[in-house]
Amino acid sequence: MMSTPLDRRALLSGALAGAAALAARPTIAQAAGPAELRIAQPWEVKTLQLGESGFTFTRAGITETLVASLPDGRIAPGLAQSWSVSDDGLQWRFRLRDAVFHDGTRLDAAAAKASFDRLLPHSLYLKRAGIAAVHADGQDLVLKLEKPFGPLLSYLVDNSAALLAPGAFDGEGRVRAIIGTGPFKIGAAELPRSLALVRHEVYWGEKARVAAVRYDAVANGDTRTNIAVAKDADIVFNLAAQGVGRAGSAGMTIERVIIPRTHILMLNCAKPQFAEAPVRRALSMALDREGIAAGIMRNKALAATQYLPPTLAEWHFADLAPLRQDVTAANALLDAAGWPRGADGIRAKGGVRFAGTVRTFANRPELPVIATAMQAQLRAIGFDLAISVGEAQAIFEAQKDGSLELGLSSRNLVIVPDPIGTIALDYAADSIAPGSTGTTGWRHDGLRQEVARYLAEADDKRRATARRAIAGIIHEELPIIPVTWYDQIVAVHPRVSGFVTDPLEQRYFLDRVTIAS
Amino acid sequence: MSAARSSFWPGGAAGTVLRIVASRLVQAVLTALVLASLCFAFVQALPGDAALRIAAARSGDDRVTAESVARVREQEGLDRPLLAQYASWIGRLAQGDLGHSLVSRQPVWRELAEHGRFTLGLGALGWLLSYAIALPLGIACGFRPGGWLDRGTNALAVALASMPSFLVGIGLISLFALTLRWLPPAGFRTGAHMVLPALTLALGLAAFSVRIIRNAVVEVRGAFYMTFARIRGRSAGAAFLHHGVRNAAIPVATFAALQFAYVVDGFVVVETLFNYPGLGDLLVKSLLARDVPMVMGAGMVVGLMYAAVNLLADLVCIGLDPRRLAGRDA
Repeated sequence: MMSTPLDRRALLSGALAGAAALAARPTIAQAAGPAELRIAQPWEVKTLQLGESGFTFTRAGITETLVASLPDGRIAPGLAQSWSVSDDGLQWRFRLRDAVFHDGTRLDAAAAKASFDRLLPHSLYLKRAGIAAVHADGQDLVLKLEKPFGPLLSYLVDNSAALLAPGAFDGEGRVRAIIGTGPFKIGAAELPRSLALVRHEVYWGEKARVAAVRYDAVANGDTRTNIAVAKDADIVFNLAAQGVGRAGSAGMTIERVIIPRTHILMLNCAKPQFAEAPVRRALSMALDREGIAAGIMRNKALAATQYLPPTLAEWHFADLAPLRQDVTAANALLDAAGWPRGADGIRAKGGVRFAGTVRTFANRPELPVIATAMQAQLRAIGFDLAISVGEAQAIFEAQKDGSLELGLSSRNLVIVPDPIGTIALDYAADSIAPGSTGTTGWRHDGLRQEVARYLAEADDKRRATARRAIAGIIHEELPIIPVTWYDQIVAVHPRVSGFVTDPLEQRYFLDRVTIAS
Repeated sequence: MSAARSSFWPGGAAGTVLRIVASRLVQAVLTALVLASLCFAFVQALPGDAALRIAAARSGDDRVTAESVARVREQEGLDRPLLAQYASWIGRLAQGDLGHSLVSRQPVWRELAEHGRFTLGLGALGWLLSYAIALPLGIACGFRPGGWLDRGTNALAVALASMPSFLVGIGLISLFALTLRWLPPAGFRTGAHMVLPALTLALGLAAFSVRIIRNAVVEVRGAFYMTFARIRGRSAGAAFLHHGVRNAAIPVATFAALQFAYVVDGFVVVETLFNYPGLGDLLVKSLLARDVPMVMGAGMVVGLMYAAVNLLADLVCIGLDPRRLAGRDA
C-alpha cells in the first residue's frame, strides 16, 4: 500500500529536480558564443523553393543574383562583374565572377544557365522580362530577350531566380538544398523557424566578419518586442512601433527607415460611388493621414503625400500636390458632383447611397485600427463606412468576383527594386493578380501606354519622363488612395556595429556586421 | 484494501485489464478517424479558395501569383471533388500514410513528430510542475479547511483560473524575462526556454487541481474509515497516509486526465506567445493555411493523445481501487 504514494513522491521530486535543472541551463544569450550573430525576424522559411522563400535566402546573404541593389536603389554588380547590351536591346551579356558555390563547385556560365533554366519559369518577376533564351558562352551568360526590356537589371535582382549550384536541384528540377554563393551558407536548418548560418570561407568578395549567424523566425510582433527588450537577439527586424520605447530604454539602438511599402485604400471603381475621379479625390481629402501616421503608426513622417514614398527617389516627385486633409474642399467636390446629404447626414445620388464596406485583415495589426479611424473621418464628408476584418486573401477574392467595395491593405512596391514591377501588375494588367492588391474596375489607357513605354525604353531620360507621367496619372486619378507609408523598425544590440539598413529590404548586409566580444 | 487488491490483480485481472485496453484502443482509433473526418469537413466548410491560401502560406501574401495558385490547385489535386479528396486521404491512411503538408510539402508524420516532441516535453513539464505546486498546497489546505492558507490559496486559484493563459504568460515574461532577466522571453532551444511556457501552463492547471485536491482531502478526512482509524489510535497524519491518500487520489487522477484538454487549449496560446514550435502552433498555422492533411493529422494525434491519457487515468484508478474491475469483469 505504501508503494503508490512513495512512487508519486519520487516522481514529483524528479520532476522538480528536472525543472530546476532546466531552469539552471543557460539562456540563448549566455549559450551563444560571442562570434554568433543572433537575428530575430518575422518570416518563417516554409519551403526551400526560391519562388516561395527566395527573399529570405537573399536577405540573409545565402544566395545572390547576377546583379544586386544598393540601399540607395542603384544597381551594382553581383555575380556578374560587368555586363553589356546589344544596340537593339535584345541581347544582354553578363561576365560572371570567379565565385564558388557553398558545396565547393565553381560558378561558371554552364552552372548559371542550368540554374536559370530551372528557376526562371518559377520566378516571380523575372519571367515577365521576356527572356527568350539563356546561353552559356565561355565565362559569359547571355540572355536573349523577345523585345527590349528597359528595367531588366532591376528584374534580375528577383531573388526567386538567384543562382544555385547544380547540386541544389533534384531530378525533377526542384530545389532540394540551398547551395548558393553568398557570404553565408546554411550550416543547419530547423524549418520553418531557424537557420544556422556559417561563414562561406571562399566567398568571392570580402568575407563576412562574423563566423556564424543564428537566423530565427519570430512571427508574433509582441514576442519580437520582448526579445528586443530582453536583448535576447542582436538584431530584431520589424519591431512594432509600440515597442520602440521599451526596446530603446533597454539599451537597444533603434533604426527607422521608410521603406517602399504603402498602406492603401482600394476602391472598386466599377461601383457608382467610386466611379468618378473627383469623388475619389474627395474621399482622399477626408483622410487625416498625419493623425493616422502619428497616432497609429507612431511616426508623423509616414503620412503618405503621394503613392510612392521618398525612399524611391526616382519615383517620388516633389511637384505633385501633396495629398492632404481638407474636409471643406472635399464636401464642395461632392456637392458639385451631385451627391447631396440625406437626413442621416449620408450622401446619396440616383438611389445609390454614398457608403461601402471596407475589407481588411489583422495580420498587420494597425490596419483594423486605421479602418476605424477612417470610419469617423469619412463620416465627416457624408460617407458611411462599414468595416469587415477577415483574411487578406478575402480582398482579392472580392476583387475577383466584383463584390469588393473598399479594401484596406498594404503593398510592397519593390519586390524588384524598380516599382514598375508592381505598378505594371497593379495598374496596367488585364487580370487581377492574387498578390497584387491593385486597382479594381479601373482602366486607364494613357497609363498603360506610359507603362509599356517605360518597360521597353532603355534611355534614362525618356524613362524619367515616363515615370513622371505614370506617377502623375496615379496621383490624379486615385484609383487607389494612399494612406500611409511604412517604416522598417530595427532594434540593434549595442554589441553590434556596422549594421546597415536597406530600405529596399533586398539584403540585410549581415556580412558587414561585427560583434564586440 | 490490501485484501481487495490481492483478490483482483492476480489471475483473471490481467486479462480484464488487457480487454479494457484493447477495447479502448479500438474506440480511440475510431474516435480519431471521426475527429479527422470532422476536421476535413470543417476546413472545407471555411469560406475562400484553399489553393490561394496555401500559395500565400508558402510565399507570403505579396508574392502570390496566379500561376502559383494554379500550380497548387493542380499539383495537390484541390480541383477534385471533395469526396474524391477524402477518399484519397482514407486510402493513403489505410496504407499507413498520413500524406504530406500542402505548405511545407513535408510528410505529415514528420511534421507532427517534430512539433509533437516539443509539445510533449512542454506538456509533461507543465503538468508535473502543476502538481508539484498543487499537491502540497492542496493537501495542506485540506488539512486546515477555512484556514488562512486555504483562503489565500482559494483567492489565488480563482484569480489564476479566471485569467486567460496569455495574460499569465505576459506576467511571467514581464517579471522573469524583462525585469529580472533570469530567463529568455521566447525560443525553444535550451531548457531555460521551457521554464516560462511550462510555468504558464502549470499555473493554469494548478489553479483548478489545487481545489480538487483540497476537496478530496477534506472529504477523505471526514470519511468513516478515517474516524475509525483515529479511534484505533492512529495520528491524523498516519491515518491520512495509510487510508486517505489512495482514496483521495482517485478523483485527482480522473481530474488530471480531464485537464489534458486544458493543456491542449493552452498550447495554442502559450506556443504563440513564446514562439515555441509545438503542435498548437502547427495546428493554428495549418488551419489558417487550409493545410487539410496537416489539420487532419493533428486532429488524429490530439484525439489519440486524449484517448491515451484517459486510458492511463482509468488504469491508474483501477490500480488505486481494484474493486472497479469487478463491474467490468461481469
